[in-house]
Amino acid sequence: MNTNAKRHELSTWKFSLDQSGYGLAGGWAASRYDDSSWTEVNSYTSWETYEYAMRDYEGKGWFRTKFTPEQIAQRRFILHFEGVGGVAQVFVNGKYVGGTDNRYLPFELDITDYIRKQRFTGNFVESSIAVCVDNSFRGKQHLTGGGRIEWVLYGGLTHRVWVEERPVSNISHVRVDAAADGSLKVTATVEGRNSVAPFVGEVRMEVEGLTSEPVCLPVECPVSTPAGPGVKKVTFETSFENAKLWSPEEPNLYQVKLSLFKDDELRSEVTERFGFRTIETRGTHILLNGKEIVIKGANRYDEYAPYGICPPVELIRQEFQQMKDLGINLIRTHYPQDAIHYELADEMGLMYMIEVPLNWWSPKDTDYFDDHLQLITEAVDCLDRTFYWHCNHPCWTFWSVGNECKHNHPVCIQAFHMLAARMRRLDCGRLITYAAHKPFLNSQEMDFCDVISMNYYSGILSENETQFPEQMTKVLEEKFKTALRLYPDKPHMMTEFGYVCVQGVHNSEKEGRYAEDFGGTFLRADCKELLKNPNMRGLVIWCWADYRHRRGFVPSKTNMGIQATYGPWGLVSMDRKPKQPLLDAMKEVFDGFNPDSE
Amino acid sequence: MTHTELKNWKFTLDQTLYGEGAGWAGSDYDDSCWSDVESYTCWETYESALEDYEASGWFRTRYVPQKKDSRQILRFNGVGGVAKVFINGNYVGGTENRYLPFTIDITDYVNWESENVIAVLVDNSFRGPEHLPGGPIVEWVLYGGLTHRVWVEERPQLMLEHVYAAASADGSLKTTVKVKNYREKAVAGTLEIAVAGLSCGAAREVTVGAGETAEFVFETADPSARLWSPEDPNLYDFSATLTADGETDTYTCRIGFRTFTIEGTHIFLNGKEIYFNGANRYDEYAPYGICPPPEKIREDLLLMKSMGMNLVRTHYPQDPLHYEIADEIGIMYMIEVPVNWWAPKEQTLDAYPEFREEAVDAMRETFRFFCNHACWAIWSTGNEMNHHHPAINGLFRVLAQGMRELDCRRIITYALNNSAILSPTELDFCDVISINNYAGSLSENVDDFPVMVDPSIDARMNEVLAQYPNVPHLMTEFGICTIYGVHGDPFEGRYHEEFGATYMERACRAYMRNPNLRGLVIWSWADYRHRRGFTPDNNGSSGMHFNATYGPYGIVTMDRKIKKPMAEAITRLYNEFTPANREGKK
Repeated sequence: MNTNAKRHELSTWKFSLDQSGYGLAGGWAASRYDDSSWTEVNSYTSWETYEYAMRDYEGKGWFRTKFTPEQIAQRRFILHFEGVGGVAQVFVNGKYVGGTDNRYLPFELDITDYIRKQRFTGNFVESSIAVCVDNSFRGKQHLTGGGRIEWVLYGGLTHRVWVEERPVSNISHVRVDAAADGSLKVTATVEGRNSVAPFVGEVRMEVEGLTSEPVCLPVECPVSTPAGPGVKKVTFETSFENAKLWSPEEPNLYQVKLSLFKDDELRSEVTERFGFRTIETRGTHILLNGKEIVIKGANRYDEYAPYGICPPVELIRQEFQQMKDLGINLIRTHYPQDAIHYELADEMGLMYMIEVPLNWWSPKDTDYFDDHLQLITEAVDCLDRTFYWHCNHPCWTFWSVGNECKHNHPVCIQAFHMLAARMRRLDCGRLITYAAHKPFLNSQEMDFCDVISMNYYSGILSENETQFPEQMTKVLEEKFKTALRLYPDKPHMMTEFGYVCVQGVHNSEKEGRYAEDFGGTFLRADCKELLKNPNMRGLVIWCWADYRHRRGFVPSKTNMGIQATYGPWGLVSMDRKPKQPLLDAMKEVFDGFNPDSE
Repeated sequence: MTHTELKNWKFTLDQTLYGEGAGWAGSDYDDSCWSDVESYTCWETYESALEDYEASGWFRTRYVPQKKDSRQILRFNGVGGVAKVFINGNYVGGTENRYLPFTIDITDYVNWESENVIAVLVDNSFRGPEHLPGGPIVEWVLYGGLTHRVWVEERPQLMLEHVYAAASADGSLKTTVKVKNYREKAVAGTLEIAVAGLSCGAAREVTVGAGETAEFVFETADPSARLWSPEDPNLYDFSATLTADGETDTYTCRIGFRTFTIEGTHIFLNGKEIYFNGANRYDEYAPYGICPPPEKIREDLLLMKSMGMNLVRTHYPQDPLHYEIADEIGIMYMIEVPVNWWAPKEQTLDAYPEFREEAVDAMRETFRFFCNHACWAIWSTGNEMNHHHPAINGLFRVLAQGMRELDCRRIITYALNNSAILSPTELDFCDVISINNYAGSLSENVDDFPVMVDPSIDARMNEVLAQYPNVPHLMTEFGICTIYGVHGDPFEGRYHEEFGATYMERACRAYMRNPNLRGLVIWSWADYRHRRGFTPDNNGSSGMHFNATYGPYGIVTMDRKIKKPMAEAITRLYNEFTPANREGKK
């Protein structure tokens, strides 16, 4: 969301380590603390990249910066984090303001009441902002719910941070629902700040290229209180016959502008980008804008050597183009990512499957729902916030409630049904699914899904080379027989399948595990088997790029593939060197995988 | 003697141990699709995803012998793991000790007319506590692959098997030469030794029986020899030449005339008192793993010297390249038998015959390959164990006795952990008592510093002095974790560079109060990576280490960026801690 509110990007920070947890008591949050000896760093960096010895660091670190607002009265100051690498506690002028315990989503803090002013003049003076970040693994009672985590928990100020000066009465959020029939529903949340009388004003809505003049609606916000503004939602509903639709092939985007007026005086202005598109299922088919599609995808962590999770935007763009060139139309991620990704995907025409970060959650057989209330609450909160921050991205077409959790456990089933129901209540305009990794037992397990998603690694986790390809055929036949019996009328999708091999290591195409060449042979054979399922509407490979494992994930020996601390499942390496035999195989597979109607 | 380096190899992975059964060692196996790599590289550096890889890989290369009726000796200067070597598909031997060179006589397997395929299966997995170094965990990364140079030597059938040239400060040279005769008849020849620029050469007629090995000793001297010391590292070119049947075998090396003596609590090199100030060093150098270009090793050792250091301590023998450079530039080495953190359950050494044999073998082979290096000054029997334990103490005695029998002309020691010192006899196999101590540096409690540093160090020094008042003491380890580029107030916070200097100043001054102290060897010269799994999950609460998979104890980083505050502190302290300054203070 872009507003006309003034933004002060906070990109330069002072940094120090605090593994011992000394800083808080040592006054490191205080406005007068002398941080001149600390190290200078930028935000949108992972501390793992500061120095070799920081790689795999899991603990606390402090960031401090200074900020002086301009002398404009009647402003709210919103400290915005696009995300942060860990649990964060934020202090303004030594006072604790708030924080986040969800590393995967943006968060905002209203710091207006914490900004320093000169005692007599009331003029703003320099304020200090201190952030204590802790990227430790938080245990299975918190998201992601698993006893361990596969990916690296990159730490620090890993996303952009800014202070936004907002008018006291403003439009704080916009939700756009734009469908393939040209219908447009825009909901603006208006914050009024009048503690004496209701804030009365007008909201004007324009869509560039579609509306000739603004559509206006009155708004009356309740009286504000010390606890917060008076909030009122205003909804515009209209439709355009000439709207050009958004699709991966033709990613048409529009911009809606919402303006808040009081007595014809502009108070707040917000623009939001969106696309007209409808994703739905019909029988066993997936339809985008009424047209059958198949999903050709890749899983992707937001990790890119040597940048950690903070690569230059230009590199992400190049990578997305490379993915598109391979025929890919969807990216799946285990957690919400920096909005930079979604903005690029909107523009370039790539769909996203975003997942609630419930991963490898495995309640004990004797556990009740209440034993997992903390985790489930975090999952619900994460779901709500994912929608709040990312709802207007047309690229976001699939929403998964989780990945590879305990199979057929009543607590998991109940939680997933609940999460799916919540997504539907939001009328989210996305297809709902869950990535299952075990054979199905009954049709209730996944009946909340629009699409049945399966993860399966045909024999690749077995160390026995001779099982290929006979074992692959046998196991998949069995697997799909059950899936088709239980879910005959739904589209099926492979959300994970893949091959693990090391870039630059070669052997013949017939033998040699962990070398590139047999990878191509394997993927061709695997995809051929996967596509024998008549309901198969998607192939999402695990994964686009090699990735690092969180330390301790491979303690000594592993049954998870290669005996190293990396997951070399990628079609490209961590620093994006191609594994040509794999890329060639997937290009061939994707080229030959098309909707029945074509 | 000809010498063919085998530099270019074909490589592929074999985690599943599929290759041997599938004929990957065979001479007719087609390896054309494999990757091209060079020896003296670690496979961890081939690609990100191979970092921390611990399993098997294959290497294949080809060579043609040049001279018929010669001995074909395949020499590895070390290898990154356990190695099995195959010639034309035949298993010919290998090694289980990654830290030492080894040779295999492949004469009987060689095709003299055509190409020979050498295939090597290397496995860098951790081998468990029943093998060297003996601990349940290993701290350092077990870099894998053909990590050292490999070559084939073509030697005559009457061959110089081993040469030990012991040169002393009085100009005497005792040369012990072992000659092996591979012929099925006795062979007579001439054995000659020479030292360029000195008159301590000699020659004699020798005869060696069929299939036998004979030993010949030369005792010569030239009092005009300039001595070797770190300040003035004079080296001489030594050669032993064996001529028989019109064929010649030659061994060459560089020797330095030098002698260590100990009188009471004082150590002398060539009659002059010496302190050993230095640093521990793993042979790891980012981004090269354990295979940095030799000129980088040289720069590194020279940088150490520039900070007032004269000694490098290592937990295991290193590539001979290091010792060659050290001889030349004048820096001494403490080499350790790689027995590290061994924690046997049984109470007698007899319960561990295989482990004992591995340790003794490592000790003997270290001597075999490195005995002629002047730089090698100190020999340690191991590092940080419960030295009271009868199996451990027994092993130390076996090793120390073996070292003395080899006439090694090195100072013998053992690096203590914090185990109590109970008697004046338990460490009596040591010439010098070596102490590792991390006073307060492993504590997470910031308020402990400096309160606990002084009393803790004084208590430990007094404990050692009480039992060993008449021997020299060395600090073989002390250190503090700091992160390059992270800065802070010198007296507040941890893990930043400035605190490192503050800690060093405090700790070293406390160690220096020990009147018997003859050296400060910091842990460590450079930051290093921990072997995967060493920091299993959330190790922060244990207070043992910096909560990452690195050991950032270095004065420099893994890629040799200098932590300036620490470097300055150490330079100042080492330049101050010298025999001359101490004498002056008295």
